[in-house]
Amino acid sequence: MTKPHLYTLKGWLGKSLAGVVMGFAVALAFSGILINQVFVSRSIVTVQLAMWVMPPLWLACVSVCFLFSTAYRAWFFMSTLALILFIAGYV
Amino acid sequence: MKINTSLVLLYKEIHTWVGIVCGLFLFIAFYAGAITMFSPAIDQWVQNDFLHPAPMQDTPALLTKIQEQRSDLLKNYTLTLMDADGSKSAFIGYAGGHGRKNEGASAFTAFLDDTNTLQVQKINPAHTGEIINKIHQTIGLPFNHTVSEFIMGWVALLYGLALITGLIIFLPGLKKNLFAVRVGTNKKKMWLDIHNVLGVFSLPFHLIIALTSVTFAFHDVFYAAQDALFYHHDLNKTFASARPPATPTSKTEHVLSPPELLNALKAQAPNFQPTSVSAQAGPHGSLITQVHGMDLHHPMRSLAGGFVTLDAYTGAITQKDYMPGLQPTSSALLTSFFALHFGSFGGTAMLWAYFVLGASGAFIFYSGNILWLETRRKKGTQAAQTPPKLSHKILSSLTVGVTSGCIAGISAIVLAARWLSHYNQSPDVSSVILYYSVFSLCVAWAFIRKPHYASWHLLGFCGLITLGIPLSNLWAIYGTQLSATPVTGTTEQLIDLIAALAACSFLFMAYKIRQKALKASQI
Repeated sequence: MTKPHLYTLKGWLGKSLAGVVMGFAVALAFSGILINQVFVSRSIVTVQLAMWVMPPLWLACVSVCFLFSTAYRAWFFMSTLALILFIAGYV
Repeated sequence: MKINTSLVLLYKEIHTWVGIVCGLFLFIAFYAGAITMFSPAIDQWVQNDFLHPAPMQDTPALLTKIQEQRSDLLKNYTLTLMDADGSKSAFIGYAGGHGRKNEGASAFTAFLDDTNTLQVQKINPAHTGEIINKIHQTIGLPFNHTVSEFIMGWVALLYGLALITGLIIFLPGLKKNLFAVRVGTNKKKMWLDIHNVLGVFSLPFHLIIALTSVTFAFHDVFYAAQDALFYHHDLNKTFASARPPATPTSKTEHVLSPPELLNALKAQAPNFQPTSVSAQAGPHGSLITQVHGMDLHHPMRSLAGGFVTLDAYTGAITQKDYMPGLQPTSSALLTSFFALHFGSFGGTAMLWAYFVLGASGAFIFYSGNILWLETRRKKGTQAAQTPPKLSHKILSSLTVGVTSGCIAGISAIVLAARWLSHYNQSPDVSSVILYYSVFSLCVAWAFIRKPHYASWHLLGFCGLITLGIPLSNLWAIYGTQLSATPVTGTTEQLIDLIAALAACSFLFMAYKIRQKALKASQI
């Protein structure tokens, strides 16, 4: 049996900053996929829907950022995710 | 349900800290927010004195008279429909001001007196409901609106985090604790159970409120970021395309009068209940004609309902994006986000449900603070007779001061606005000053006196001020000529009822806490 992972508050400042900053980037990048790949044509409605999708994603990132073992890892994984989503939104 | 213990402990710690930082702000937001459910009724309650409603069929004659003598008032005016079937209306014309809500404008009412001459009176419509709404939106912070709302956004995000972490903490003991409220000697357990039961059963509501509040606070930031990255800096064009269309001026046709407009609308939207008709001068002599109103069968963008833009000459609908029931499905989806925050769906039942959810939300944050204090108190008594820590003292005084300050402050402005507007004084500026004075007095008192004494003093104070609200209406009904006009509408009388009930419960709690404080001092 593997030992259960130990979650701690250590490095909370770095982790939460990763959640707030990179979480914002992740949410923004995801909205980019909606705007460029899903909606394509722009209207007053799609513009608003693409904005409304951001807060839940941002909150999700802020909530899970504490689960990384170090702040460094939190930054690394979240920025990689954001980068992949940005590329998906542009290509 | 099994969850890694260290994760539960981690989330518990985050939940506690986030709660301590945001709890009191959230108390203010939820208490004021619960009361805004009745803000249209409060404004009616405050200002039932100065409008002079006239039968709807007389409005064309009134408008002609205004056109002859005060045509400036026709550039931007509203006809408020005074009763459910729209048979009576009152004219309010605006000068100056800006925005959809005519902020900063001077308002005038116009009516024909017994001798059929035009009377124009400057009025000071009370915005008491709107002021309570501002306290709600800015979590009671006294800074300028943009700054306060920005801080509110961060509080809302943290509040979302508190909800998620709170849920994870609660899940492992879900089966055991779901319906349990252990009333007994263990005070901490009891408060914890109350906190949990209220929290779990209103979780969907709280998640909606948290997410919509983050959106309301930060939408400009979100749009700006998306504009720069995905919209090539021309997002404003999209917004401009959604402005209400103006009808270009026509020399040959005749502009429909308000009764004609309403009849034309009735044919196109029979379920829509108009509450006001407004007309504004658009660019190049064009006209923007709108009808605001309600349709209780559909979600609406705000408690005041939705609106529709009409062609000034034919009465045909030219924009229905905000019209409950007629808007396209995609706009209706957006409307539902707003409706879920404001409780503007499902009619009166939902109004009450949101009032109860909001008020119980405020209680959750209060109980959270009490829990923190109880836990620290216990630890303190176990670790010999050390004097309580400074942080403990500060938080217990703040909890008492801020909660009672918010309650007393809001009751005080509702009460004062009623009397000021009776003497046609604008209560708006003084309301803001009054709220913050009462609020700071309560906080100061909580710090000067010991928490146990301060809390019954201040609760008693809340009770007395709140009792003044129904009393002043009783005074109006049975009093001398010095009194204000009595309020007789049903929704407005509800305010008296709610205030009376709230006042009694504040006074009762004050009495209980006083007994306990006296008992404690005798030992």
